[in-house]
Amino acid sequence: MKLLTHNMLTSHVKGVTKATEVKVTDVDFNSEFVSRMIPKIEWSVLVEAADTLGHLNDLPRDLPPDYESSEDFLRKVHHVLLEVEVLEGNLKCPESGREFPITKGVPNMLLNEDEV
Amino acid sequence: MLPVSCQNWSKTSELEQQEGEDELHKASSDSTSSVNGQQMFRVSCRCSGSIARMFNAQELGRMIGTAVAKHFGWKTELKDPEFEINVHLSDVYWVVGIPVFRLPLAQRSYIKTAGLRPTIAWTMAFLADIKAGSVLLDPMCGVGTILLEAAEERQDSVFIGTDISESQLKMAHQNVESAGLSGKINLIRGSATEIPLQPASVDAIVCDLPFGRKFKCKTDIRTLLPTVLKEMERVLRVGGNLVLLLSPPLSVHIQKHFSSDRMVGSGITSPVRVDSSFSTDTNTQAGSADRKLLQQENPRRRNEVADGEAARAHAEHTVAGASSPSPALPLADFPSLQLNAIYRVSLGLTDGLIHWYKKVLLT
Repeated sequence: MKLLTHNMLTSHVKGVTKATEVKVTDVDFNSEFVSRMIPKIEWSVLVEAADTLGHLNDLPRDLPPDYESSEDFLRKVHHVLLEVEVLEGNLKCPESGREFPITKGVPNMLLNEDEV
Repeated sequence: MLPVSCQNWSKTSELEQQEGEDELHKASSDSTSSVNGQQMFRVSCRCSGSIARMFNAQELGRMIGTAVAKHFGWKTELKDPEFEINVHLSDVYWVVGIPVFRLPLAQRSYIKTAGLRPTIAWTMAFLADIKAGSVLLDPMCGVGTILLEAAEERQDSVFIGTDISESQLKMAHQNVESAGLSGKINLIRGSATEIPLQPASVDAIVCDLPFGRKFKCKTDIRTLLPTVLKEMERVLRVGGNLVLLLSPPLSVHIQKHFSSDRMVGSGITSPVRVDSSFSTDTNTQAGSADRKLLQQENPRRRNEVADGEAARAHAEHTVAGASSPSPALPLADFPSLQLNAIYRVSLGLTDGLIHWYKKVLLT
């Protein structure tokens, strides 16, 4: 699970990310793509998730206003959004405490196993 | 229906005959397998839709083969022909063609295991019409065929696939890896009845709903449908496309249960199109065939299409002074989803219907 995916998940599971295995892979950088994605993501959630995984990558707590013009900044966001991937771990709902496992990079968001 | 088809047939066959002969000149010049200059051919016939119940494809292929052999003096050769004539019959068209390549168009180098026929998957991704930097969701992604087609075309977007089946996701994962698209396609295990994404978080949705043949749900898909559509409506942003592939019964079901009758008299400016518009045939005969097809599928909609002008006149008359008329029919229970078009496509043994909606802002 990439942090971009994590960022789009329903709010009740976005709380805590625990990871036992994190993979970092090279993904082609596309500055336009990253600039277009930034307004769509919840910045504080991204920063917190990256921080929990130890991949904060010097991202500021607040989104700088002129981020589009800084390639350096966009590269950092690109790294955190697309290159850092949780392979094994789990997501924890801060309210209910329920955990959602991440196996082989795929988070399992099914509330009940018998839904299958 | 038949006369229309026959006209199409004669038109196409003339064209194909021309092309076929060109091809044959080339083939015969360096071919030794021709017997006394006779061309060795075979006919492969396929029927889909309700016409499949009227004709036996094999029998029909044999009849066409005999007629062609008689007319051109060619020789049928089933095992090792020099060329093949493919005839596909659906409720709308006769398509006659000679395959130029050995591999079918649906064979993709970047798809390891295909679920849905990749050409149909591509079509759905095309209708989803995503721009650079968009997010496309398939909430029942299966092995990920539609996502692969979409991602292959648009490298500068994000693709999310959810499915509740672990085994399907496993295959989807392998597919994504082998296509080298793991940087773009993200998989989540989750239910389409409770899509684990935020409201208005995706720019387009594509979905091949289970036909109940190869894939079945525990619960009847018709029971789940309202919840699934509600969820799709929730996660799709305004202006985004929703492209569904439905079985013919499910297509009728949606139109029967969710289309709004209220809208019929209140200002339809463009009738709902039903066509197989991915054919290049644009003659008017095809248009009338579409209408016939539409009549069969949904008698309630007949008047809107056949008498579009009358309906509009009626609307103007009854709702004089109404504000801007709605361009298309919304689904009654899902008012923000407006139907753009329905396309009938052949899936081989069966036909499918692509329903194309757009989410609009409700005022």
